[in-house]
Amino acid sequence: MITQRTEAPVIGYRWWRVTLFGNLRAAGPSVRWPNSSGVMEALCAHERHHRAPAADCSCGIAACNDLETARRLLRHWHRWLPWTRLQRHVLGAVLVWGDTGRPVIVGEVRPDLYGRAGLQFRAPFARIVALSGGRRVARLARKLGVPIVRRADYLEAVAREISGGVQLKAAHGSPRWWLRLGRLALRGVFGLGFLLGLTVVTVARLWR
Amino acid sequence: MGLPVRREWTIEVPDRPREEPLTLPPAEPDEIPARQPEEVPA
Repeated sequence: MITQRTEAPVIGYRWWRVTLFGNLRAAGPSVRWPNSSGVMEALCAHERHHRAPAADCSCGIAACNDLETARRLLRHWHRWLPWTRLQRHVLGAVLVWGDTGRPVIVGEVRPDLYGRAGLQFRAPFARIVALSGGRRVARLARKLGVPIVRRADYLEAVAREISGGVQLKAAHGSPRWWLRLGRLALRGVFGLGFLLGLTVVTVARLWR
Repeated sequence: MGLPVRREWTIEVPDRPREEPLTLPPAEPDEIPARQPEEVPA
């Protein structure tokens, strides 16, 4: 494992679940954000006796290096845990940092079909920098004392401007055309099969 | 549940920006003229 060093806290992007009472909760272990001090400290939810984050565990405060990777992570959750589609989510920017003997663990996300890679952080400490959303989130942001942007696309610019943190970039790969074509072909086959089945059922009903 | 990761590494991240080491300006010569001893009438 390589150890690097930054000159300032790192800007990260993540999303939270919004409860019925208008509070923010982490998507994994249902931890309320933020606590009274505003600074969140990671604790291992797997009841292992180590300080979070640890290399051989999945604990730590999760964040992504850019908005696109955070959105990709949200889509990943929606795909594998479909009930999360029913929940309300808020995207926001955070600052993450470490401590002596508690570095931030960076994971290089596998590139998607378009070759877009990303970084995923597991940090010991974090605090919210800005949130994105409409009127209901604005009320929450006012309560937390953080700025709000109407469109999530502005989050990166705002976070860079006001946080004083550094943004890490991931090295992008080349698009995997063969996988994209394969997926397109598979969709085509399923689509044609569905249409064919629908036609057969309709004709059979009309025939009677 | 995070995205599949290819490799992991660690970074040391401070909680606030590391400041540049302070460099003091070179000491200026004392511009105040040395005080002359006053003449005391005999």
